[in-house]
Amino acid sequence: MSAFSSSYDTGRRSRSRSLTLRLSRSASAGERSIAVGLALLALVLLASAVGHFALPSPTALDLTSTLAAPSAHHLFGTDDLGRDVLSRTLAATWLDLGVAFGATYAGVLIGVLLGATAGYAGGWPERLIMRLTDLVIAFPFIVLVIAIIAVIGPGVEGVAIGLVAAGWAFYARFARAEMLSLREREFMQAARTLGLSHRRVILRHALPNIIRPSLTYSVSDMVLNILYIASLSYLGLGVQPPTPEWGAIISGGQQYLLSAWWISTLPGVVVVVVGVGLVLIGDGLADRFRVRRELVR
Amino acid sequence: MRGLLLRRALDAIPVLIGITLFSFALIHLAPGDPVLILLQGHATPANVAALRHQLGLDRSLPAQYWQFLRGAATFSFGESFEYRTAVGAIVAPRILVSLLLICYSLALAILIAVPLAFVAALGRNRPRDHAIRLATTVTFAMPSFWVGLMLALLLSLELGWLAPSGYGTTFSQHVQGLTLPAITLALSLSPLLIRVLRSSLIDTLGAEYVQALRARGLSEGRVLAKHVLRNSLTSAVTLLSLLFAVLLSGAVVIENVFAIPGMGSLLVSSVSARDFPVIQALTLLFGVAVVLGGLLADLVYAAIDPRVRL
Repeated sequence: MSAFSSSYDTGRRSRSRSLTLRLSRSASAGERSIAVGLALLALVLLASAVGHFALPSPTALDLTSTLAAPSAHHLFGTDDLGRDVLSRTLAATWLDLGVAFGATYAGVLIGVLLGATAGYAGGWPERLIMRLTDLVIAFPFIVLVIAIIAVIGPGVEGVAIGLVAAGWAFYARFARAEMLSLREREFMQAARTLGLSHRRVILRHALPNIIRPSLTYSVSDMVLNILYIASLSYLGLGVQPPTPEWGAIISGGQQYLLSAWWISTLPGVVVVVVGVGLVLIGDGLADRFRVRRELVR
Repeated sequence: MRGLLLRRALDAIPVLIGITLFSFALIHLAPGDPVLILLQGHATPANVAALRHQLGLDRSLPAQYWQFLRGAATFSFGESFEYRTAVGAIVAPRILVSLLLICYSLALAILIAVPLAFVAALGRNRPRDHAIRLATTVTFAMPSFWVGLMLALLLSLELGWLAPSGYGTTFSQHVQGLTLPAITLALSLSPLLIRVLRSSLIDTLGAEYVQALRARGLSEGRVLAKHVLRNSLTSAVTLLSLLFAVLLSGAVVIENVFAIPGMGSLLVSSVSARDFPVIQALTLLFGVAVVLGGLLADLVYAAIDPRVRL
C-alpha cells in the first residue's frame, strides 16, 4: 500500500529548515503528532500488560457464558466458546506488533544493505540487485507474500518470511538512490582515498547518512505489515486458531456478525487505535526530518 | 512519445522473464513431491514414475521451464490438482470478475478522493483540512476486511440496502453484488489518493501561471477545473500503476470477505489446497497484470501531459 507518511504540508517546506523549530518552546506539529501517537500506542500496550494479569486467560473456555454481550464483567463480550474477547484482543497485541516489528526491520536491514551496496559498487552487482527489486515490486504485495506462504506453509513463519521477502525492495531503492548522490561527496572520496575497506566506507561512513528516510518510512510500513498479518490470518493463511491474533479473532466472529457483533467489531477498533498511533508517529518523524517521499506498495 | 513507450516496453521484458521464472520455481521450491500430493494414498513406485513422466517432471529443469513458458503463451497451465480440469479454464472467467471489481473500485475511489482533496487543499490548515486529514489517517489504519464486515453489518444486514455477498449471474446482479466490495476497496485506497492529490494541488495552486490566469480574470471554477486539476492529475497518474498493484492486493483480501469468485479468492483457496498449478498461473497473471498496468499508466500519462509527447 503506501507510505503514506511524507511531510504532510508541502506549503511549509518552502521555508528553509527553520532553526526556530528547534529553538521554540512550543512543540511543532510534528512533535505533537509523535506525542499523541506514542500515547495511543502506550495506552494499548499498557492495557495489554494489565490485561495479562487482570483478565481471564485468552484461551480459557467458559461454556456457561457463550456469545455474551459486552458487560462490566466482559467489556468486549465473549465469543462462541465463552472466551473473553478483550483478553484475546489484548493478548494478540504482542504477537501482531512483535511480528510486524521483526518483519519490518529485517526488511529495512536487508534492503538498506543491498541498496547501499548496489549504489556504491555499480556495475553488475547494481544491475542484479535492482533487477531483483523490479521483480519484487512487479507483484501485488500480498500475492508475493501468499506465493511464499504457499511454499513455506500457512503459519506465522510463512507470514514473517513472506513480509520480509516482499518488503525489502523498497528500502533497497531508497538506499541506492541516496547512495548514488552520496558517493561523489567529498567525505566519501576522502574515506576511500584513506584506503579504508569498502565495507568500512559503506557501514561507517555512508549508512548513517542514508538510513534516515528508510527509518522514517519504516514506521508507517509497520502499520501496513500489521494490516497484512491480520489480513493473512483472517484469510486462514497466517496465525492459526486458537492462538489469539487480531485477524483470526475477527474471522472467527464473522459467522456471528448479526447475533454477536462485538466479536468482529471491537478487536478491529483496537487495531485501528494501534495503527493510528503508528501513523501519527511516522507523520511526525517525516515532518521533523522533512522526508518527502510518496511511496506506494 | 513512441520512443518512450518502446523503451518502457523493453524495460519490462527482464521483469516479465523474472515473473515467469518465479512462478515456475514455486512448485519446485515447495517441500513435498507434487506427484505424492496428487496420488495421495495410491503412490506405488510405478504410479509415481508414470505420473512424473506424464507431468514432465522427469525432464531437466530448463526443459520444464521451456514447457511452462510455451504453455503460458497459449494460456495452458496444466491440470489443477484440486479440480482435475485445465487450469486455464478455471482461471479465465475469474479474470473478468476481478477486473470488474477493480475498475468499479477505482471509479469510486476517484469520486471520493478528488472532491475531498480539493476541499482540503483549498482550505489548507483550516479545520476542514484537519478533519479530512484525521479521516484519512483513521481510514488508512483500518484493516480492509474489517471495514468490509462493518459495512456489510451496517448497510446490508441492518439497513438492508445492499446484497451482503454473492456475485449473481446477470450483469446488474454483478454490479449489485460488487457494490459493497467496491466501496470497501475504494475506502482503503482513498486515503493515499487524497494525500497525494492534496499536496499536488497545493503545489499547483501556488504556481505563478495560476495567479496569471486569475489575474486575466478567469473564473475561479474554470481555473480549478481546467488548469489546476489537469496539472495535478498528471502526478496522480504517475501513481496509477502503483495504485493498480495496491488495488490488486486489496482485491485479493476483499474478494474473500464477500465470496466474490475472482482471482484473489481462487488464490487463497488454492494455497489451502496446495493446488500448485493454479497458484503458478495466478502468480504469473498477477505479475503480468501489474506490468501491463504500468505500461497503460505510461500511455495515459502521455495522453494527458503534452510534455511527454515532445
